[in-house]
Amino acid sequence: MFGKTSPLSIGRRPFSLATGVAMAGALVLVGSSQVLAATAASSQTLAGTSSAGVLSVTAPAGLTLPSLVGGSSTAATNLGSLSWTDTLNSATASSVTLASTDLYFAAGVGGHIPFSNFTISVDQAPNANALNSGANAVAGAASQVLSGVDTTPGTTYSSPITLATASTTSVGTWNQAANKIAVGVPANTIPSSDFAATIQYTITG
Amino acid sequence: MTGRLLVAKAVRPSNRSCLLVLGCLVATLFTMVGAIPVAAASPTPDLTRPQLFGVHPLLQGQTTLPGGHFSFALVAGQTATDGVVVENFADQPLDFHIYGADLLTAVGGGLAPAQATDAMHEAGAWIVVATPRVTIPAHSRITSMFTISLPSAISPGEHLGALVAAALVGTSSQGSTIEARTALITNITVPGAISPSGRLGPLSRTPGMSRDVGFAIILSNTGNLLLTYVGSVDVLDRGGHTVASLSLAPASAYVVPGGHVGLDAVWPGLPSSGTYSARATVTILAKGRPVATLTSQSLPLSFASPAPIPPAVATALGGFVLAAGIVIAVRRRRRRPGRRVAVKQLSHNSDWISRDSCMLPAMTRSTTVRLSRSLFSDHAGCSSAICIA
Repeated sequence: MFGKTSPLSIGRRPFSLATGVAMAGALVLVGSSQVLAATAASSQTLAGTSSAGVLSVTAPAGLTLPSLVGGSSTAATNLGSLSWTDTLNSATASSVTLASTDLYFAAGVGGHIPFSNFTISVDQAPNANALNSGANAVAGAASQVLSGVDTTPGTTYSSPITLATASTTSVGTWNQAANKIAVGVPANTIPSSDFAATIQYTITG
Repeated sequence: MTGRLLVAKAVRPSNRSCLLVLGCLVATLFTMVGAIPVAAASPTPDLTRPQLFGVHPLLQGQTTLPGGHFSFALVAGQTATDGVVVENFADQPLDFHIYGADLLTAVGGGLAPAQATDAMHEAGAWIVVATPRVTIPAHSRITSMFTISLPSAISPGEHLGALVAAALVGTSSQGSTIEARTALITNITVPGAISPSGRLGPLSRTPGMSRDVGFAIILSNTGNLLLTYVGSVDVLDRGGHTVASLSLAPASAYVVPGGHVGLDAVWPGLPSSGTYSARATVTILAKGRPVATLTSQSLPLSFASPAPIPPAVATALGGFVLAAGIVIAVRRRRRRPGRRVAVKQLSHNSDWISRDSCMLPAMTRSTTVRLSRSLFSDHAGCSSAICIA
């Protein structure tokens, strides 16, 4: 048994209707000018079907940190270009979050760098696509330190932090290209070893 | 030699200054050089790049339900079946893990699903995906069906979860991986008494802020509906007048039932002195409508200008400074070559030469010491006992 439990978002329907009307007007104008330019041309029907709304994400393909020097912090390193799309007719605002595992090499002392040593600098100016509608996405706090209960080093994810949120009326694509990470490297970190982590981006809406 | 040494000592501060300036310049240069690659490494925003993958509800646009997320009204023990469409927009196949998860309030006010390996306690525990692991070819889509089975005993209200599609989308040369997830919120409403309610923790000052006054407070959702909020911190002076009204951030985030969110406000600048009090007021909303206003305790704030120094301490400090000045002056005069004097021993028979009130240690004839005339300027009798070499 299904029931409607959330208020229907009506804000975008007039917008869609207006868009449709505008498109029709444009087609009429284009068709008229073609007729004027070449009287022998026949009219052309242009039709298209809009796809379903979607919640999608494009995350950077990889991240290479600078050298990890025990007892010091790395320079803030760019996390790459993150973009996401929310064209769902959702009654709930969307959120983009980041979580990470430890930088892990091996079990034991100095074998991993806990995620609590990671500081994320959040791009404070999400770029909005020119075709977006509604309010722009709002960036999360400028500097955030990852936290959480690290039950299995190297496997457990930190608690998610908020990179950006968008309101229920926000529809479109956004991009954050200046998110950065700095890692505090414990002094007892095993030298000359490759440490690897998993960084996780989530779009929720 | 001594003179050279003195000269050398005299120029040392200048050398130090030069070295300091040089060090600053070098450090600045290194900082700039180090900053350039980081800045250059920042990719330019690319909003035309195609998305990797996306999701939407199977029946989106085909029902009267809100299209963006799954909304179900179910009673205890009831089961519902629905589906999620996962689309791979990439040029290569992607391996997906599709699962149900509890919905959490993220740090900073966003929403996020729990991890696949977490123990689920809410809707995430009731969602079973028929085919949780699937590979989707490039530019293709699949429909993944799932079932929601409510337990026989369940509290009324909103139970939140998410349908998650996750895929590893990149690996660095060091072996680090990037995982991307899209999560469609699943809102299961169980009929019964609803009780939108929340609780504020104690309002406190944010430690470590030297130039501004920071406030922090935690809002907890103690009811059974998804909440949003609007809040502020008001600062009052002694007379009860509002001197600042500060918005709490993040503004209007979601708080899931049983969840909490940390809120912050900043009062710019630090008052030089005075007594104030601060109080947070938060209005909580369910389905966009205000349902309650919560108020924190009054937090006393006291800012004092530097305390005046007690007379005794001031006298002692003054004496110390005076003594230190005299010692420094004496040492400077002693280091001047022209002030070197030789003292001849006046008596070999005593360890101390005594005349009037002046006492000097006995020395051999060849002993050379540095004395300051100023030390003896008040002792005319002593001066006569000293022979300038």
